[in-house]
Amino acid sequence: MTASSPAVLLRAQGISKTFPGVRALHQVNLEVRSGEVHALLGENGAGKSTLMHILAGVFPPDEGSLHIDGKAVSFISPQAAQAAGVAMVFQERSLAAPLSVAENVFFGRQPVGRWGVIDRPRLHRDTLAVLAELDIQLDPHNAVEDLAPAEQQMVEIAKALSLKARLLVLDEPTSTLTETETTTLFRVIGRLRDRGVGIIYISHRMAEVFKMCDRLTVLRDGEDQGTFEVGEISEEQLISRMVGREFCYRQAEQVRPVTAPTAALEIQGLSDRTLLRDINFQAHAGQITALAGLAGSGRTELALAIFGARPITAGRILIHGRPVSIRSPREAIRAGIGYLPEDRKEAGLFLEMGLAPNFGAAGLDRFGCWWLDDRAMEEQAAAAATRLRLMNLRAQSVHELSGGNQQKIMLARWLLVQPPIFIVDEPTRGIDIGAKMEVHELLRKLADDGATVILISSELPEVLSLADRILVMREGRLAGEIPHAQATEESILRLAALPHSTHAHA
Amino acid sequence: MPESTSTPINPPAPVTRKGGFRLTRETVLLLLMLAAIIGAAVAFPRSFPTWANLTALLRNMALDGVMGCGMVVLMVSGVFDLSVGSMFSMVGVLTAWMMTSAGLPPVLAIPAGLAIATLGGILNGWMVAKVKVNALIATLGTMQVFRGIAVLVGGPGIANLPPQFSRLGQTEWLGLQSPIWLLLVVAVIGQFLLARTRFFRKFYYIGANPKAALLSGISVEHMQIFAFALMGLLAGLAGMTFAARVATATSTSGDGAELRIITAVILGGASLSGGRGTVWGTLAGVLFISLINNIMIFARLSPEWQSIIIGCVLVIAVGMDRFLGRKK
Amino acid sequence: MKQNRPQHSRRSWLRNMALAGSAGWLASCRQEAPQAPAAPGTKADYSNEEYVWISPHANLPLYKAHDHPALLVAAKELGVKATITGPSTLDMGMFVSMIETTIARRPSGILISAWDPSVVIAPIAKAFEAGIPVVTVDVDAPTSKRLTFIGTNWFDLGVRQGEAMAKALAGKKGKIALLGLTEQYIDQQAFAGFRSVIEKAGLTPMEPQHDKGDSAVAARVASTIIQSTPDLIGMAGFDSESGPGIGLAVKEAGKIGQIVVTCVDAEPVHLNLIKEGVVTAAIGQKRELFTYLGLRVLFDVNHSPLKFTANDRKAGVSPAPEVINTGSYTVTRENVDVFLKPA
Repeated sequence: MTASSPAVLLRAQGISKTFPGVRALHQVNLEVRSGEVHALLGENGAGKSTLMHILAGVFPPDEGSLHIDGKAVSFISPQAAQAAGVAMVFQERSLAAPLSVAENVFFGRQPVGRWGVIDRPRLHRDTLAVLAELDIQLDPHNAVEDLAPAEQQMVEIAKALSLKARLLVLDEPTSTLTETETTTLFRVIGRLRDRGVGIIYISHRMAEVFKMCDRLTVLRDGEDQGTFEVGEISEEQLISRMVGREFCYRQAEQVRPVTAPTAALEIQGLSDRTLLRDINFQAHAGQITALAGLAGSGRTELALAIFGARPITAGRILIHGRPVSIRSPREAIRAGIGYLPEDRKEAGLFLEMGLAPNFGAAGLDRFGCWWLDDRAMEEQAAAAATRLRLMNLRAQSVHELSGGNQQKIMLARWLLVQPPIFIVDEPTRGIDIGAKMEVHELLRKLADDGATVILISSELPEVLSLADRILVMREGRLAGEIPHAQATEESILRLAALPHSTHAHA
Repeated sequence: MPESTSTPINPPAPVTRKGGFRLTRETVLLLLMLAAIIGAAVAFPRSFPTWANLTALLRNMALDGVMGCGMVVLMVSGVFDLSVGSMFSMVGVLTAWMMTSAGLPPVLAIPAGLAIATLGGILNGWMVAKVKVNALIATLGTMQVFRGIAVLVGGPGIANLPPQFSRLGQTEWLGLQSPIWLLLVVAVIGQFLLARTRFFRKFYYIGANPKAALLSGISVEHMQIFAFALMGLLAGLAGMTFAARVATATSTSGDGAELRIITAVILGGASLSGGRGTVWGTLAGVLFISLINNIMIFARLSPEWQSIIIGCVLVIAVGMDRFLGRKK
Repeated sequence: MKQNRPQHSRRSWLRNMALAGSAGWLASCRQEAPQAPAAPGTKADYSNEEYVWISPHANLPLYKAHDHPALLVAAKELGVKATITGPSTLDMGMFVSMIETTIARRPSGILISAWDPSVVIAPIAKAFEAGIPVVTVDVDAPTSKRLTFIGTNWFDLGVRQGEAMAKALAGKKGKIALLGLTEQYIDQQAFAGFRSVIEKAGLTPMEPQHDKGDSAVAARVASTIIQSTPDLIGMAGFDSESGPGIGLAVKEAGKIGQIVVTCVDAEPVHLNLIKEGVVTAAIGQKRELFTYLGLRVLFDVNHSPLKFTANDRKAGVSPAPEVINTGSYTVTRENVDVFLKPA
């Protein structure tokens, strides 16, 4: 971070935007300097998305002005914003998967020789030059679809850079990355910063924000809650500005006791074809058993295997001591197991459908005999949504809902079925603090009422807050269990990341 | 994936007026048809709005409608079947062969033919659901195979079908011929099943998101095989009925039926990606196309103009609900 | 996790391509005629000569019933080999490439059913350059380098149908509907022949309507014409599926006897309609002659001792007739029984 105050790259002043029935932004100010990493924080629905769309030229603000390098600008289209040097790296990749890295970086602007034929050697040289600037090691010839998500993100950033972007917006960039990949990303961000690029960094992860960013701006309910230097505000203060209330994760003081003699769910020697090896563990009714681990450690694969959605090559599953054969999710549900998927948009929600069909998806038998009682389903859906404080009951289809509300409808789906064994996979990913708290209360209550809850989460504070037992997975095996007394973020991370490990039985 | 704050914002959904009336594709289609009917009735007052013309229209669209009922289930679940035209012909030919060369009485040949139709459908379903071949490619293959079988067995056509059989395609009851009654029965039952039953509702889930459907406990593979089997059965039934109606089984019949039917189903509100569609909509689509064809001949349009106009009309009909929805 | 997807899609892509490839191959398989033994008593042995018949829609039932058997009969008589090939669809691209493949095999002669004349001009020229004699059968490509066209003269066929229609309507006045493949050259010729007779008889031909070569479509179009034309007194079909379609429409409209129906082709299905009294006249083609005579023309070009000059090729004199008009015949109630008796 430079000591002197560098040039102001972007100034957004007094930005307001209203949609029918909703005031998305009201008099928001944002200032980004060149060579600065500026975090934008706020719960979902706070207006970050709308503000970014205005910056990207998708639609104009109702009020307010934008200045780039001190000059007023008004973007009539995304192309205009791009021409002015604003680039976005979205969650949904904008890359053409079958094409190569080089073709993506210079999409639509490939260097051409005579008669418009693409000059391939020059294309690859130019791409290598761009990648070198960012210190990224990638072969320009590789097809993008063969790259890991982290590498794809690098290509997106390289593409933005080649467009001579001066302002780069990164939206939740580390959500799918491993630790090493995150480090690489931060290095790239460092390079961009050195070149004077201004970066807007949107993330829910406080640790990263405090580590990487120079200043931060907080939005809440469409209003500007202030801009702060990273040094002058603490995490708790930040969070209270975001949610408007004091909060911290409630550390579980008391572990819930084991009440039944036999484990509700027992996994013996479970292996699958590619990843899982000899998994053995027990989960008990009335407890929240957490499965921690790094991305790629096999937690979701294990959950899918238990749920009958992934073939097993060896091992047994016992429910209350009796072995069960589960070959499909349908059989799993019948055996009393439920699963909340990690990627709710891809594997959980029926985005074009409304609240009621999404609510009833796993429990259709409860509505009518062989005809479907739509009215009953709608009534119960509305009731469940209200109970979970789902805010947007009038939505026609669930893709209009915010992340938090979407997760609530997913939970409602499973609450309807009331599975005695409930596996939740990253239940609070990408949802705002308020909803997160509500989900945590819900999971606690389920356990209190006697369900066997298995929590898969990458968010260690969440794990520490909720879990009665913490199991750690590493590279497809169960690395061990962290006893409650020794449970800290460090100890979990150590067991999850370091190769030497203790016993696998838990 | 965490929720992105920069997901592209969709334009606001079509505004629901009071009372929940929505400008659906079906409504647009019905309004267009009404306009066309009124126009034609005014232009040709003595020949268009007659019982004879109406029954002729219904009679000639009936079998497309029957097959449409099967296709809509498939399209709701996100796939389609290109082999229906060939199945139509093949089952007609095989049933005819059984009754003529093999000497089986219709009472045996008909169930046998329907069984063959169902098996053919199961073959399609197995390839798509279990072997995971792309539906377009799998049914393109069976389209050729079924047609080949029809030509092999049927040659230039099998005539002289037993009268008990042909009677089934030609009887008239209350002024409507049997293909029309078949359509009515299939459509009414189909509409009820697809719209109201839990079993068929699951196809909508499968079409909207097959992965999520599986994880919600729906047996996706079994249901897909069922849908293809049903389609095969209906195509075979239609093929048999046509053979009965003409009292001949030709191996060249049904050529191009699949595109016609898929067009009608899409016109009626289905989408190629699945999760949408109704039986009423499909019938509206089939009826709409037949009506336009009917009116164009009344208007003495040359065949070249007919092709151009039907193309334009289809595009307009499909685009209209989007256009009207967005305007509000 | 997204990692699994690229692998899966590539594997299934390969599987799909393999399936598509084999389906395509199977669909266009050609049949080989059995090796014809040398006819007893002939001096020369021509059993290594191959004559190839090629057409799109190679498996059309009409061909299988008439053209193909006659070809094989002629081949057997002459002691040569006959091959039947062609795409089973109307894919002109594949048709052309199959002609070129055939040329590469250096057969002794090629019979082509042109379907789309403009498309075959180039391949026929190539065959000519390679010294392979080519005749067209059924559908001609008159501007190409083919030696002879053997087929029906469609104008005459239209005239014949017109005469049958006019005779049946003897003096009445009204509209006549025409159904066929309206864009095809041969249909248009037939329409012209038909119209020339009809108009002279004081009847009014309507604009031809398309029936897509499908009897169901023909039935639909015909029934709509019936409903929309109060003064309709006759309907004429010009492709093999038109007749059955029109017949069905007339039957279902209850207009048997009120509307005179004539059609092209006299297959069992048409003959039955005549027997039922639905169709008044069917005009049959002598399809067997296409290939029977076609093969003989090619064979003669290769072997006949007749010469017009010392070097006919150099002189630019074709050794074969220009056109062989195989003619047509009319089937009516009077003679239909003869046709229905097995030959």
